[in-house]
Amino acid sequence: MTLGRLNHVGVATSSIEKSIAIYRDLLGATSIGEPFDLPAQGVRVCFVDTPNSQIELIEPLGEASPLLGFLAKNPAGGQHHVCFEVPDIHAAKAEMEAKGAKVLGEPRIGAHGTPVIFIHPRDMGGMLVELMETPKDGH
Amino acid sequence: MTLGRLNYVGVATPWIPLPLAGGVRGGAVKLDPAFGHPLPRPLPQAGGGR
Repeated sequence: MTLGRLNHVGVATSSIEKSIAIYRDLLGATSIGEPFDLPAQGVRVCFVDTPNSQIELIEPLGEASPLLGFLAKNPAGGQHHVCFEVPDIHAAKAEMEAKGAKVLGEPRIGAHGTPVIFIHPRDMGGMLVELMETPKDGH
Repeated sequence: MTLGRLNYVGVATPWIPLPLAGGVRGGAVKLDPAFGHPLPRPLPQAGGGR
């Protein structure tokens, strides 16, 4: 496996609407997707496009959302994870595990509709890393 | 102003291999906490005595 494209940076927020306003009004974002729910991951998601990547705004969805703990420690929100593309998620998972990194759970469908996995921060220098399979239809 | 390219993501780490930090060969360099960001501090050369 070789390190693929930086697909997005995940940013946790307690309010997607407030974060959209920051990216739109303060930073001048012009391409902002419609927020949508991702119940399987316990988050509500909104993508803010940059010319070469995306910011993924993520807000807790439900009482068991994994983001609740993060926001308890970081009430203002902040960078939550980075996501790199890989050509084959199952091969990537096998390789990560073979190299001793802890993969959090099984591959699941992510916000882009392709399978994703998360690698434990302790094996990634303290940063939660998402690997996503590159969409077959490109970007 | 419009939002531009995502140039890079800054990742804090207590250690950066010297070849990445400044092209110096060998060892590693500790970040300087006084500055809060990575400042390459080359290891002393042989006989440098630090």
